[in-house]
Amino acid sequence: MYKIKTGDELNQSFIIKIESDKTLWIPLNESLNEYQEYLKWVSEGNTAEEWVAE
Amino acid sequence: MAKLSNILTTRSSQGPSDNFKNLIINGDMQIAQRGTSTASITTSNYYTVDRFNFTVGSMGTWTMSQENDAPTGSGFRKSVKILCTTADASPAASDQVRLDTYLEGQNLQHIKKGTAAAEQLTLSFWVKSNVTGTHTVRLVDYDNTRGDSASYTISVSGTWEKKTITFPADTTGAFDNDNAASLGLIFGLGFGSNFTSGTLQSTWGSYTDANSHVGQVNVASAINNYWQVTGVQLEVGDTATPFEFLPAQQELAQCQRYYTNLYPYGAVGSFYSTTQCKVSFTNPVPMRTDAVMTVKSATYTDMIEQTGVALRTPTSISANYAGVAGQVIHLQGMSSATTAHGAIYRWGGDITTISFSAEL
Repeated sequence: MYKIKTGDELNQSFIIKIESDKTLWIPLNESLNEYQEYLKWVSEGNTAEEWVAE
Repeated sequence: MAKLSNILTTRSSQGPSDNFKNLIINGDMQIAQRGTSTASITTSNYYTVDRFNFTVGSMGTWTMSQENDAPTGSGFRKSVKILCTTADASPAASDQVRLDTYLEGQNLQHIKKGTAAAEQLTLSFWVKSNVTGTHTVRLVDYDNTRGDSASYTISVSGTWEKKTITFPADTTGAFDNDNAASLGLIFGLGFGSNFTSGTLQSTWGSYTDANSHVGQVNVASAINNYWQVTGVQLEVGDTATPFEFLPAQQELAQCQRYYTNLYPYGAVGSFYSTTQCKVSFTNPVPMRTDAVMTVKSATYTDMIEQTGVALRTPTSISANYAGVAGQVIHLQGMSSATTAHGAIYRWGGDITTISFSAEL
C-alpha cells in the first residue's frame, strides 16, 4: 500500500510504501527501483492517499 | 639499482589501472550488511551479501546465506549459498531464478564498448553445487538492450571448482556515462522455456530471452539442491588474473554507496517541540543517488536520548530529507522533552532497524 507525503519548503516529498514488517520512504527519484515500482502501480490505475502523521 | 629497475619495470607493465581492476563489488562475498541468512525467499531482492540481487520469478522457495565456506588455499573465507527449500521441477515458461549484480555505466567507460577499440571481458569465479552439468552466466547491456551468454560445467558434486570465461568485445552500443545500471552479470540457476528454447547467444547481440540461458540445469529441481559462489571477478582483457583482494574498509565503503545501516549514535539533532525532534545522519560515503529509507516496524523503543537528561521513545519515524550525502529523520510521539535540547539516535536493537538503499 502506497501513500504520499507532500513536501513543502522545509520537507521533501516521499512516497511511502507500507509493508507488514517495515515502511519504506521513497524519494521521487526515477533512478530508484522502488520509485519505478510505484510509477508502475500508478500506471495500473491506482492512486496513493495522502500520508498523515500518527 | 637493478632490483629497483626490475620493480619499476614490473609495476609499469601492470599499469595504474590495475587498482580496482575487478568491476564486481564484493566479489569475495565478505560484506553482508543486511544480515547473513534469509529464509523463505520467493521474490526478488537484495537479501544477504551486498551488491548481489537474488532474482526469483515464481520458481521455488529459497534460503540465501553468507557462508564461512570457501575453496581451501584460495584466500577466500566466505561465499554466498543459494539453497532450495521448496522445489519446482517443472517451471512454467516465464519462471526464473538467478543471482545478479549490476554495475554503473560511469564505472565501465574504460571498456570502450560500442567502439572499434572495445575490450574483451574475462570473468572468473569459484562455484560449488550438488547439481552437476551445464550452468549459464550472462552479461546484459541495459543501455542498448544487448546480451551475451556463456556456459560452464560443474563436474563434481559438492566440490569447489574455478571457472574462467572470456566474453568477446562488443563494438556496438556504448554504455551511458552515468550512475544508472548499464551492465548486469547474471548467474543462472533455473529457467522456464522462455529463457531456454533457443540457441545460446554466445556472441553479443540484441537481447533475446529465448537465447539467454539455453542448457541451464535446474537447481530448483529438488529440495536441498544448492549453488554456491565466491571470488567473482570481471576484468578487462582475455586473461583471468589473481583476484583483487581489497582492504575490508575499502570493500565496505564501496558497498555503502548502495546500502548502509543507520548505526547507533550515528545521527544527532535536536528537539523542536516537547514531542518531536529531527536528527541528521551523514552517509559513510556519498550514495549513488537519494536513498530509500526503510524502517522496520515496532523496533524503535529507547532510540532517542535527550542529551544527558532522559530517554524518549518515539512512536513514529519518518523521512524528512534524503540526499546523496546524508539524511534527515523526523521522530514524533515523544513526551516531556525540552525544546532545543539535543537528541542522539541511540539504539534500535537490530542494527538494520533503519537503513538506506540506493541500489541499482
